[in-house]
Amino acid sequence: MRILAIIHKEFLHIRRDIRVLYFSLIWPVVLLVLFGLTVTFDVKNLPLVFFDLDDQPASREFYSAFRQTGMFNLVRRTDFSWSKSPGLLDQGRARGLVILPKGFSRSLGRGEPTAVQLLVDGSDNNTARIMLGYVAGISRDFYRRKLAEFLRPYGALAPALREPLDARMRFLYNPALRSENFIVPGLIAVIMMILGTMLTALTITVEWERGTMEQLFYTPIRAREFILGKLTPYFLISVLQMTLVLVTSTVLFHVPFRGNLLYFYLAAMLFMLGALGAGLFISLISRTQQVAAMVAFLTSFLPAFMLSGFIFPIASMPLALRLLSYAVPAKYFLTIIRGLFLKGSGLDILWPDFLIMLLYAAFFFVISTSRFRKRVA
Amino acid sequence: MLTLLCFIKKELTQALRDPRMRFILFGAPVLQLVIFGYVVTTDIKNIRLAVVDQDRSNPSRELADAFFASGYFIPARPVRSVSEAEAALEGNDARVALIIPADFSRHLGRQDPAAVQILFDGSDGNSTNITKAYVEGIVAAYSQERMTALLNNLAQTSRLNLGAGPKVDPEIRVFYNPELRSSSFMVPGILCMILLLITALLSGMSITREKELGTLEQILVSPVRRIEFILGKTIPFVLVGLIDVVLVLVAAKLLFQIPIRGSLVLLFFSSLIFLFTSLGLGLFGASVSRNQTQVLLTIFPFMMPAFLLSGLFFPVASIPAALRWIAYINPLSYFLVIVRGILLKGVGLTVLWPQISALAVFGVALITYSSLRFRKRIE
Repeated sequence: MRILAIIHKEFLHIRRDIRVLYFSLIWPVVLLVLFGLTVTFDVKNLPLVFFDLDDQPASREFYSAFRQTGMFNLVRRTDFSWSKSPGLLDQGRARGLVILPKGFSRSLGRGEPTAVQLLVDGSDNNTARIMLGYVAGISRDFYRRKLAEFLRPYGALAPALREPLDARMRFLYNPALRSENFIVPGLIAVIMMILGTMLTALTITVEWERGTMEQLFYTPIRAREFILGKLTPYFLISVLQMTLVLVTSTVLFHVPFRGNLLYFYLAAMLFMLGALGAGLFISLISRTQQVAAMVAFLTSFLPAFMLSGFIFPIASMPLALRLLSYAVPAKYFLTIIRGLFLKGSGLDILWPDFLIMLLYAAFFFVISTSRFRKRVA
Repeated sequence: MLTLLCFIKKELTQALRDPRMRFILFGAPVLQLVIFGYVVTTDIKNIRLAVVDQDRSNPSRELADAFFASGYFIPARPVRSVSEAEAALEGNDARVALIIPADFSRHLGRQDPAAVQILFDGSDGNSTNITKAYVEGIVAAYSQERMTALLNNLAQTSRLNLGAGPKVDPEIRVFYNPELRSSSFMVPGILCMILLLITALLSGMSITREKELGTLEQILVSPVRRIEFILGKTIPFVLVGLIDVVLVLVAAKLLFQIPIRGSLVLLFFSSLIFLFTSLGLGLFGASVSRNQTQVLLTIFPFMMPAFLLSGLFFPVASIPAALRWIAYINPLSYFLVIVRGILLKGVGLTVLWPQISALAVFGVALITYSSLRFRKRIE
């Protein structure tokens, strides 16, 4: 019954401060909605200035090929000066400049290759790469079209214009490649990891700082009871929170949920136990709340965001970081919820991830308990 | 003045006494830089590709080899049928499957379009998009090669001289980051993130700590004036923040060979201006909180949106127009443009003055508001 007293005491703390409830129940949903609406990896609206110095039908056709991609925020100009125009990149007013030289249309009409200049702002390497890919594709398609026009008089060559490959691409589990379908599950893993760790990270440090920890040592409380008592209220809150984010993702963002709901809750509970346990452990080893808060942030946000496979592919990382990613619980949770949401996978595929999350939660429970005992002694 | 100096000295002694705190202040930023610098790459390598080759001919092997030769793909565990390939995709053993049907080479030989199927694991979103672009490139290059070969063949048999063809050759010049390295893009971002994280949260907590422990009353009855208290609490973090800027820059230069093309003086000056905003946020947190948990719970919810909606990871232009204003009221977006501008582009005040002024307005407004609010609270 001592454990109930601890739970009761912790609930009183939570009730006294409305901000804890706001942080744990409203903030995650707000973040999920906000990021679900704004975070996108589709690169769009890139400002591109198109200098058409040729200004002939073929060059205008090339320009409209750029427009049709819908990727760019295009400005077409017919004047260019080497002293002023590249400044557009410096000022960030353009991410790229395309320069069609005079004589562009004439060489193409004669069946001769012609060069266009492309000046790219490389500081955002990812966007630059995507832009280069688009330009390569546009130029290739344009070449095909011009070649067909050029070869029209030579009927014997017609077979060479036929596309030799018919590549049919199919995207399993997310056929339209909707970005919500993968961003939302990833966000759930990141947000919940932060929430769990942050919620408990300060609870014991507060007692250290105020000296109430010593008072606790004089009571007959056992380590296990203390740790469980501290965890239970936050655990209940976070299971409730998991329900809220699940509803938000399916109802608001229409992310399909194809798996078993029971597995979702099992995974959620294991994951949150691990996160809360990690927070509690940080709380036990930090003397001041400032340290606890920073450690909690650095050990929850960074790994969950960077090493879970949410945005940055683990397979491309250097070996040391790939190994480190195995210690990140969000990686396993993310595999499970992606499996449950999109693939409809079951335990036959996901059991190793469940097992590791169970071990992770157990690990923090055990070391927290033993750490607490040592302090008592 | 002397009181202020003593107060700053007390604060620094207090903060630097705990080795854990020393690590948080000076070790963690560099550690973050290292991890971020290496992790953050949007180039995808080692994509596991399962090949189901039902044709088993030379052209089909050539096509599969074209995938592996691109350097992006590695072979997944061998599969024999389409259903095995699909199972590999579900079990995360493969990310992409290439299925070449039995009639592939026959169609190719007759110049009919030869169908191949490419299956992607669509659940790994961002990677899928990038992988798709790689696949399109490989397929296009393979097609182009065959078309050119055929064209030359036909032209030769009909004794035509076609020349090079009406090709458009993009001549590409990449500015600021010619090798398109991720670290050049990310490291300036990390600098901004670290500054905000350390100064806002820790200054707010450090002020509230005095309240929580009851030492605030003692300070208030001492000859320390209110303004000296606020300055004494924030100036140490200005120092810590600027030291971190130096540490991160040195580490970035040594480890990632980040260029520093612009003026360092301007960089420090803008960091100082950014610190107004950041410390203003900390002071605001302190003015509305009774204890440190509340400070954390007040400031932290601002941080995540500030990081993600600033252009740190993806361009502001890609945020849907209706919500782009969030990036415009986010001081971090301006600071990011400044830091990247100075380090990578080497631009100066003539280009960056709008951002620097915006940052100054934010900073002065926020720190004035918070200081007034805080003074009222403690009186």
